[in-house]
Amino acid sequence: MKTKLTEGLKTRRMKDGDMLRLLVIFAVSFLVMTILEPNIFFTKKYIVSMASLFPEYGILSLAMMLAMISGGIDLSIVATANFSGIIAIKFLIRFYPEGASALTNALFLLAVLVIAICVGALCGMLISFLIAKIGIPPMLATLGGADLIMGASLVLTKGSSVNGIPAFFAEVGTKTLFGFLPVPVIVFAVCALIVSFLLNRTSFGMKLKMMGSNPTASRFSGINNGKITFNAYVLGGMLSAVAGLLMISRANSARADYGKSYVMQTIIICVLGGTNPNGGFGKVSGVTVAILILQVLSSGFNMFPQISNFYRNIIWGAVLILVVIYNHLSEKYRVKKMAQAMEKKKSESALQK
Amino acid sequence: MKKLLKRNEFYVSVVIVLLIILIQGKSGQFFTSNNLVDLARSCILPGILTLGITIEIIAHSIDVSFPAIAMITMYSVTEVATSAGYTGPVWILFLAAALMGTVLGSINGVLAAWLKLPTLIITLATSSIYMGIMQGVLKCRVIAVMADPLERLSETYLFVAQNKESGLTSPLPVLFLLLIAVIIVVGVMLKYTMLGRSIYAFGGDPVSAQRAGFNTVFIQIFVFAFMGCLAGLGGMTRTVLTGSCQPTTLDGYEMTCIAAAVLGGTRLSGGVGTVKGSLLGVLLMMIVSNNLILLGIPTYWSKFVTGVFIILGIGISSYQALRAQRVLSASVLETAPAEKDAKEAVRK
Repeated sequence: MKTKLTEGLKTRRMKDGDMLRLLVIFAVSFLVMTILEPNIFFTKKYIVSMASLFPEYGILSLAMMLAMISGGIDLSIVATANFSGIIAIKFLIRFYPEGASALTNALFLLAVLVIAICVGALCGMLISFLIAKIGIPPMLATLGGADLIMGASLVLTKGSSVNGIPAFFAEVGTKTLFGFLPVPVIVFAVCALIVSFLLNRTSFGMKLKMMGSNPTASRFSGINNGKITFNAYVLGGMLSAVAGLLMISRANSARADYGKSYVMQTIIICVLGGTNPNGGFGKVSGVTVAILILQVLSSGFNMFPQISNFYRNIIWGAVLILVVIYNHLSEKYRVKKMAQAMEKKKSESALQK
Repeated sequence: MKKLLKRNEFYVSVVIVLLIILIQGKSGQFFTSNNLVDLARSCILPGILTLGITIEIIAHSIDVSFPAIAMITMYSVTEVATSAGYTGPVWILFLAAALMGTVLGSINGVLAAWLKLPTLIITLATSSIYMGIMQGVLKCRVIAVMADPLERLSETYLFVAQNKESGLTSPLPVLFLLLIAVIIVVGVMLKYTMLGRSIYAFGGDPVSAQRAGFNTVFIQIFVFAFMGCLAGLGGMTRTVLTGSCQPTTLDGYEMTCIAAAVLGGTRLSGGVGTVKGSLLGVLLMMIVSNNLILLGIPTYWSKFVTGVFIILGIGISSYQALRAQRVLSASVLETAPAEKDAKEAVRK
């Protein structure tokens, strides 16, 4: 009874309340930052630089969201991103000819993308095999898998960074089209559209949500849970690989331990964006706005050199806990209110009889 | 005999023996006195922390914030003691660290009991906060020369072992006694006290535990607080063992400890786990990480190799649980003729 109520409420809340609340938070944080430092923050240059930063962990957040909707969590996204990036880049460095034409550049770019995505998919397969076939809880499978994958990157790179990446690769990743549209944003938009399409318009999305909200029920209604888990984590691995390429092109080098803090950030983004960490619910739009909020906050803090980078850890942690507490309390309040309304209805109908 | 084959401890012991034979055969260096003492020494810290995480996993919780708790308590206590020129007895410092750890740990516990969210998310958040406080607010740095009592303790040994051939010496720190004390306390608590049994009951099935009259909120807060306490002690142990206070030294330690506990047969779904098993898990992890060099494997392979062991260890115990579950559900689903077989399978 109670669970049914909360499920119903969650879907309703996702529809109206959450999105509005997120947009308000975004607008307020943007305004506050603009008022605090209008000369730095509200300039085209700063906004474009913000826009070229968020896609990296934005795409990772999409991967995390998929895992969370399935009722799990994916802590291996960053390791996968680095690993697939390193392999693809090693290929590029090995085979890229001197003074290649634009056409070969394009071909090589495509090849790098394909290789990275394939490797990412392989990592996802490994993880989903551990979860679905061996029965390791997602959290530990991905935590242990992350160790394994990162260990593999360390073996490949012998612990140092990979340099000497052909210049065109970094150029493509940091280019700004029409003077305001960075390439990473386009990549993010494509990824977001694909994920959104899969979640809302395909049976896979529906099954994923059903499995996340109740794996037993979905199994008994004929859904192949193992296959859905497989798809979710493979898709997550592919997305991570794309993010890995973006990370490499921005840093112009590859390392086994880039972007370690992104794992934490993506969890915050997903929870902030209305994804249910217990599984079953999550929306691309909510996550996207949450990504923007986090980027505004983090770029905003960057304007103040007296705020050390380490304070960000505190802020992210505190934001995560506060959001979780807020969700918990509002959930409780609504269930209570709904239950009261039901009671009232019952007594009224009893009176009528 | 069949019972023995089902236990994780048995498999871990077999793997340990095989590994030892392999290492001894390849390098002939395993059974030298200094290598054995080194092994005992390296087990102190993971031993203490793994026992804490074992209790938590038994209570169906997971904690990734204990390295952060260990680091922040170790840094604060050492920093205060050093800058104040503390000269009193050293156990007071350990007590202070244990208390501070308990407080930080119980914050996790309160949040977990209250919010009923995956404890991973809660402890990830608090871990980030603790690290931020340590690095941002306290502006941590390496303390090379610590307060006198700590320096003295780090040079107090139970005995010094010497390798007769190579002349290398390895001392066994007095803190080994702390590990033994923790083992005894945890072992007695889990096995012979009401509290210990209630932890098992809670981990096995929280709802039934509550109906049976256990105070589940208290249990959950207690396991996190106890982990915090052990983390505080562990942090101090680390400073004393390394002879200096390096604030970020325990980064990423959580996986080693969780893996050791799970290798030793602690079931992630809660309710199952022993002190003996976890200690064997620690021993296995430490043999692997200590002796890779003796096997001639380059150090940058170490993360990969430990990763393989972690996956294997967790995989074996999870797979057993999965199979047990399948047998159980099959026995429920299947009809009368199959019932006999299924019953037998359950009995096994």
